[in-house]
Amino acid sequence: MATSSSTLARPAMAVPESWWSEVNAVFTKDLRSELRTKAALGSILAFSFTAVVLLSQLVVTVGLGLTSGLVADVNAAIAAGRPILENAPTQAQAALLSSLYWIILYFSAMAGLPRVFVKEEEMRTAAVLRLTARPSAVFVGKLGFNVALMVFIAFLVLPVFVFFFQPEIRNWPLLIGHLLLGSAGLASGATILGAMVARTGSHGYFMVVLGFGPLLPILILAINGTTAALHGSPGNNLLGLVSYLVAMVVLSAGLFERVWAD
Amino acid sequence: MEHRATNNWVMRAWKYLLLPWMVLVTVLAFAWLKDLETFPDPRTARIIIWHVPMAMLGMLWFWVGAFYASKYLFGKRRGELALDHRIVHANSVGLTCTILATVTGSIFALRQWNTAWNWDPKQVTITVLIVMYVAYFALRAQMSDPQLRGRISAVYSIMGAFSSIALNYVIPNLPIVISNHPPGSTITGGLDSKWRLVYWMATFGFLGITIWMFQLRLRLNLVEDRMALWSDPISTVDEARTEAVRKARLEPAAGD
Repeated sequence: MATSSSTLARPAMAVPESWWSEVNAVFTKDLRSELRTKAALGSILAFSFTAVVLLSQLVVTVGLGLTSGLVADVNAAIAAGRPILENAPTQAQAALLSSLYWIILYFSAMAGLPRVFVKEEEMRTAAVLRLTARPSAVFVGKLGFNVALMVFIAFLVLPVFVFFFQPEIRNWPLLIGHLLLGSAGLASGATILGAMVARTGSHGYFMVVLGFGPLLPILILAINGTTAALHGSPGNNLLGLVSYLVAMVVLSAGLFERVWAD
Repeated sequence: MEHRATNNWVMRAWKYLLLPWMVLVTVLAFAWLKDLETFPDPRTARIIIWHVPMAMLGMLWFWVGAFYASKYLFGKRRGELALDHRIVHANSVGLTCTILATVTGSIFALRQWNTAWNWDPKQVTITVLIVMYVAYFALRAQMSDPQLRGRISAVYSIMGAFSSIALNYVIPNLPIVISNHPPGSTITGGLDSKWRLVYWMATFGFLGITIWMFQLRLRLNLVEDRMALWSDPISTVDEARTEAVRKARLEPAAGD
């Protein structure tokens, strides 16, 4: 009796879910547990806000060479009898502020993003996840969650940063673009590295060392681009950031299954 | 003796030629080549013959490590310990070459730019590369299970090789990055044919030295595996090799 044996042989949950519904399930599960406990969010925001406040008190970002500098054409100003110093933020201040911002984001990312895998190992839910979802779906779901978290953090830290450091932002669209792409790049690198760190069972600080190599190009491109956006200089690094992001996502998508599988 | 790559002495002889070859390269570099006038300190610009091949070979060996890593992760010989050994040794040879490139570059900079270290973009990126591969060995030290250790470090090795391209070739050549290093590469630009000859002789000599280093480390691993077998048969040695060596001990090796 083909019908009855096939009905008996197939348990109710054996119908394979579509890949997108698996991705959605992983993403929603992480989102819900994060909203419930706010563990990663809390630690990242606590670190970032403390760092911003501390740095704004300790690092000098105003003064000669930072908020006032030489005019563009000194000889012409001398010839015309105009003052050679002007009260406008210099390139040096833009570089300093964007470096501070991205350093804060980098360390927040290294502290908070691996949690998405470490908590699976800690809560002993990793085995269930391995059984119920395809590795590619787990990867895309966790990647989506990390990117969303990082973008959220970047745009949450920005107003606090602007409030404490009072930078003059001359090119808003470019700034938003660099923040989006830079934080997405950091998150995509941190996803696969976080999965690796979670398997080693080591302490959290190791993530900083591990992430330094693959993520430094993103930091360099993001810092340079943010400097240009703050100062209003021409040129941007959006294309470089997009290409590095795509390369990182493709590479980690191919490698993730080997890290995740038992 | 089965631990040699080949019993044919002709193919082993090339290693003995390395010393005369490198002596010849050194003599030619100092006696035959003229000073490079395009550099601030023309006499010491010869160090290019040591500095640039080391940087290139470092990247080459990191890519050899990534090649073995992809075979370890995805190939037919998935998870084989012999491949894991090759990844580790290729990466350690690459790290040695990269550290030597940094040291020779610092000596070069001391003469040409009057400062041993000024965080030139290429100096930054090569430091990051060194930190990345030191982290590779630290990552390996964290894990005791050989299979897991091999897999995770192979994944990191592949990521490292791709990052080395971004770090060594893409970042320093971006238009926003201002560097003291001369633009272009030694392969295409600015050197006349005598310089290029000695440069490529040096590159092949160093390639030979690093291949020999790699083979020696592999043979050391083989000896260590055998010693582990004698002291503790159930150790972190892989089963296929254990069987093969046990069989070889029971049957006398032919033509030893």
